[in-house]
Amino acid sequence: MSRTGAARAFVLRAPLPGVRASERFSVRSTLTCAALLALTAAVSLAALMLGEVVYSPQQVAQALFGEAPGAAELFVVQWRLPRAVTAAVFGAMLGLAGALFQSVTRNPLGSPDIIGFTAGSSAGGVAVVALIGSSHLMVAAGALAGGFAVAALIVLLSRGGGIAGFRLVIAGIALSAMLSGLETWFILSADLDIAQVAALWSTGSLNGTGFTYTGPALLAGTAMLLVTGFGLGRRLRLLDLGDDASAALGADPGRTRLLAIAAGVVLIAIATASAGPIAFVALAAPHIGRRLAGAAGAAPAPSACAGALVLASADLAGQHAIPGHSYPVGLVTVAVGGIYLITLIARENRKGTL
Amino acid sequence: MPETTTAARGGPRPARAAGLPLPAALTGLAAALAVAVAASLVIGAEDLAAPRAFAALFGDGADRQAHLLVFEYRLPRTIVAIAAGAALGVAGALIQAYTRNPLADPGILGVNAGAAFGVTVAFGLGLSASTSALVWPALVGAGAATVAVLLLASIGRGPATPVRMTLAGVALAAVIGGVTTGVRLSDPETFERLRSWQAGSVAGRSLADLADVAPYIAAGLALAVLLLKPLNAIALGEDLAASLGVNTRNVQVLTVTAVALLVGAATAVAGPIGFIGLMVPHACRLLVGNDHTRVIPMSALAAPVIVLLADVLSRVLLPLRELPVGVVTAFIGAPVLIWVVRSRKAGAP
Repeated sequence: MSRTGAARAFVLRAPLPGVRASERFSVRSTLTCAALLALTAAVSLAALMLGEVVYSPQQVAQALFGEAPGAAELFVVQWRLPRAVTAAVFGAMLGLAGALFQSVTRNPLGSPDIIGFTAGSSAGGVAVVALIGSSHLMVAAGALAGGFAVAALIVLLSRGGGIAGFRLVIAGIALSAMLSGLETWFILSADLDIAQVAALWSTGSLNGTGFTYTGPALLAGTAMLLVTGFGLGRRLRLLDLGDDASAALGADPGRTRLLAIAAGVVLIAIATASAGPIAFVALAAPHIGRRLAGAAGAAPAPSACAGALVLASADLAGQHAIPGHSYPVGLVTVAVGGIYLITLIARENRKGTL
Repeated sequence: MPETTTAARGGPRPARAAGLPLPAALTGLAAALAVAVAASLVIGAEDLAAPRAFAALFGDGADRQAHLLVFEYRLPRTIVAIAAGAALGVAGALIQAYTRNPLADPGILGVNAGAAFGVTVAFGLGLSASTSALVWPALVGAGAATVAVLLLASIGRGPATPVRMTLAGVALAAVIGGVTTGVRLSDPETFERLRSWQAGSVAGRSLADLADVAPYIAAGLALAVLLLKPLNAIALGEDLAASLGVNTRNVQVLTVTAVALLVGAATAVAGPIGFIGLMVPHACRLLVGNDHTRVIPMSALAAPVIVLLADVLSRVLLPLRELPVGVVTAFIGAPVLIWVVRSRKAGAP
């Protein structure tokens, strides 16, 4: 148990074990989820209204129910709706994956962006685009393989307590640097037109999202969200009680960690395969969700809802915040998420917990 | 007082009784540097047999092709690699010594990102692409990023631990990098012009480019020489250093200035090259122990060897195309970083 003890010493906002773990659905957590989802719906409505042609909410509703003229139907349903839905669902997936990783590493910074999984998925995807071709399934397979390879590497490196707590974070930073070097290598060794596709993909963008292209990813992602949420929720709450308590209550903590990491990698790989690596949503969303819900532990549901809101808002801002420019959502999240990370570090410094 | 220093609590490394004698280490490094320079002149897309290369180098103008290859391409790039390497190595050694943080590296702490941001903004404002126009934006960006990361890490209670500092650097680099990419994407022309620069490369750099930044590198190295002894005292802790008569505030200002000069100048000429400032001081401490009066000069000699070897590798790894040297250094350096955090309690707050 020394590993747990050591890990806990590194925890920024220590999840107090057991405070609320017995309540399956706390009222506050449910209300938080409802409020976050309502906000996400409002942001998505704005995303459906705004653009080159601006529609009123009534017109959007008419278009959604198939009662609008052809142009409105084309803009709202064909073009804007897939993007808005994708932003919300992918955001939820990233938020949930972040909650899983942070819960497993017992480290608020142990998000997939920082420990290198996102970089692994991204390098895997770019490798496939550059070396094989940009078919959607192949890219997804590459992203999945890259994510799992990095996950295996991290597990190997942290064997025997070699890397625990913040050393995991530092090792992740090193891995990310190496993987982005690998990506540059692939992009440079490919032909120019392929390199451009790969480079664009690696910024993380929802541009050109359509149901024919992202449909399978959306279905698979929603299924994974449900499976993970219902299948792992209890195990994660038990893990928050500590390894011993979890084992005593019938959930092998090692198995929980393995399942959670696998689920997290799959969630991230699905999102990364279609949208490219979108940074820092998986870091920030669980913090927001956990704080709003007043939850002590993993809080998977509020994290997912917060992720949906964060990504939907970031994509809206990227498209419309600066008139005349449309930025990939990955840029918005990296800038905003980085500022969030800075404030997080400053706050934890002030508390002296780092 | 090297003995006291190495035993100092909180020093960059636990006490290491003896290293190689300095003359032996310096001789070995000089030999390694000579080999690396020779390799850099001989190996490339068009291999030049060593006798031809050296005949061309030492005044035999008869072989036009070899003469052109050596003097127009290989020699300038070799010299630029040596200068940029020395600057980055010394910058890394200085910042590791001053922060007493074995994980400190200009790339990890976001200093490179700051320099890159300065250059991008300068480009966006329409400055020319010549190195001379890039120096000042790079210097200012590097300096601002250094100050910002040190401030951010030292907010609040307790000393700035290695972990705090690393995280502060990563966060800062993420924000600056995001904004930099945003600027580049909104202006396709800037993007195009910066594409080759941004990965970190010494290919195609001329001696004129180097001449533009050489004064700043020289100034940074001179400051480093002044800082050798005070940094040894800082290794004892700031309070003890102050009681030994070291003005810690001055040391701080001078160190930040020197790091900004060295990193800014190296980045202006060669683009952001990571991990050199991390690896080299560690290697030097393994060789000669913890005394900064030895480690810093050793770093100035050892870093060019690494950069040259990485550059030679970058020419041969891909068929028909060169890899940016920054990619190669990331590949060599990242495992070193993992090894450092695994092998010692560096990650512990």
